[in-house]
Amino acid sequence: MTASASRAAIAFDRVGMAYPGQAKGSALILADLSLTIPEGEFFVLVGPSGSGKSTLLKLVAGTAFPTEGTVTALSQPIKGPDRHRGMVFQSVDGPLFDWLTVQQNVGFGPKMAGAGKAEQAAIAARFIDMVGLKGHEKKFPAELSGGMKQRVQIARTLAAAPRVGLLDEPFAALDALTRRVLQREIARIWQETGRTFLYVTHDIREAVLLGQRIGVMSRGPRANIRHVYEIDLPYPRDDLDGRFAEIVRKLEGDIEREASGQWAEI
Amino acid sequence: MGRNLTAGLSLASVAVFVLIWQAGAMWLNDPLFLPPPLDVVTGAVELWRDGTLWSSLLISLMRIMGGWLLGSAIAIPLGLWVGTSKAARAMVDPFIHFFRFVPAIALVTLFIVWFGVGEASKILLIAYATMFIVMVNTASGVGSIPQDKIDAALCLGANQRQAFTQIVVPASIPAIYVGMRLALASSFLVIVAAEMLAASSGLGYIIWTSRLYFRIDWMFAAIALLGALGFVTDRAWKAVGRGALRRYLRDTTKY
Repeated sequence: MTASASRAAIAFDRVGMAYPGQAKGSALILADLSLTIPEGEFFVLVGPSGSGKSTLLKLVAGTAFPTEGTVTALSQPIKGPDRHRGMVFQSVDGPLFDWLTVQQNVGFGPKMAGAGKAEQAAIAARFIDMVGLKGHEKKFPAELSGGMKQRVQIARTLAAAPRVGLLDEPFAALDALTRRVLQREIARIWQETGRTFLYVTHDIREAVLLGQRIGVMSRGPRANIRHVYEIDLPYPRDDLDGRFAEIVRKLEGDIEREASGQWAEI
Repeated sequence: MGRNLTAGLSLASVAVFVLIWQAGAMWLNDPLFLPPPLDVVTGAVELWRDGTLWSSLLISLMRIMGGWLLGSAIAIPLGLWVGTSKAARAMVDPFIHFFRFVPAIALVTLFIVWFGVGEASKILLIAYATMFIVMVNTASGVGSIPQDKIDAALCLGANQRQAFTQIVVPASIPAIYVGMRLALASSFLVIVAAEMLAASSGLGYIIWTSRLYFRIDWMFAAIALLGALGFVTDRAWKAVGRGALRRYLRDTTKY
């Protein structure tokens, strides 16, 4: 392991987060949350709806700020959104730029970074190829299926060369078959690019399929990360494998036991 | 439905309308009340021959286009600003929601007093009528841009200015386009009112002046031409939407 690989890509230090306009300490969505994600790791956050998983991603993206504690990226405090932390959104239609072609969407990050037309096209081509959209460069988002649109989002995020990829349930809105295909591809893309991935999901099977470590969040308010599991299965992972099923079962059991009092209402 | 079939149906329905008009006019037999279509055509040809119809059409079109473009040129930046900035919205909102209920027709006389009987008062009146429709549409278009789209741009390295020029502006084009289309229609209402009160040319002037000569057929000719002019300009704007602005609009130009 190189020296840089052990640096913290993201660090949460006793983070608390309240809805804007509310007094400190009252109705915190997140409370006293600490977590360190080293560079190059694939970290998955699982938790029930309303546990503040998406809020956590927004804190890293820089589109929201903590009420208490600090969030840092490579030891630098996060001051706002920038190209170092790329975001893949759950929404399939909202985030794409409808008036731009697939190629122009993917080339947007390089364009913002000041790349020339030829360089934009070259970078776009590389990532379009990586997500398997070769031949669709000139199409507009409206001409693509849901799965293809999420591929465009992934390619676009990676083309901006972020240090950290933030993925907010990117496949939740897709059909089961497309979801399976893309889950396998995202693991391959992570290995190919060597970037840090922070991935949010409510699907435990998906978490075990993808994550090197899995953080389990408790239900909010005052949500927190209760346990972090190390998953030492090799990639690509096989969800029909006995060990895989064993880990999923253990995680589900732990979450249920832990939640038996807290999640009584579900 | 095929293109030919729809065009055929439209043509047939217009033909039936003209036939019913002809039958009604023959039955009433009072050309001062309802002249038959053929009389209107004769009247139109008469006006065409002496050049009145063509020059009136051009002058009305010039006023409409001038006012519509001027109004849009003011309203679009203002709408984008109001849609993006809460402070701007707080300052401009009271005026928008006051003046958009003051119809341009109520201001005709005032504008003549202020800007004279020439072209300025008519063009400014149409600009006034256009502004509020385009501005409210633009601002609401900005408001309906998904936050994810703007956040996505910022996470891809865009700064606030780039997020505005590269995302907010293009994403608002459908709302601006629809606003301008609605404003174009309302321009026709205003131009006729303005030309009736203070003009010596234009289609509204013909409609108003025909009454002095009991030339109901001229009045009908100018009314028909006004409708045709509106139809053609609307189609032309739609062609712009399907042509130059196509990549921004897609679903907006279906009707």
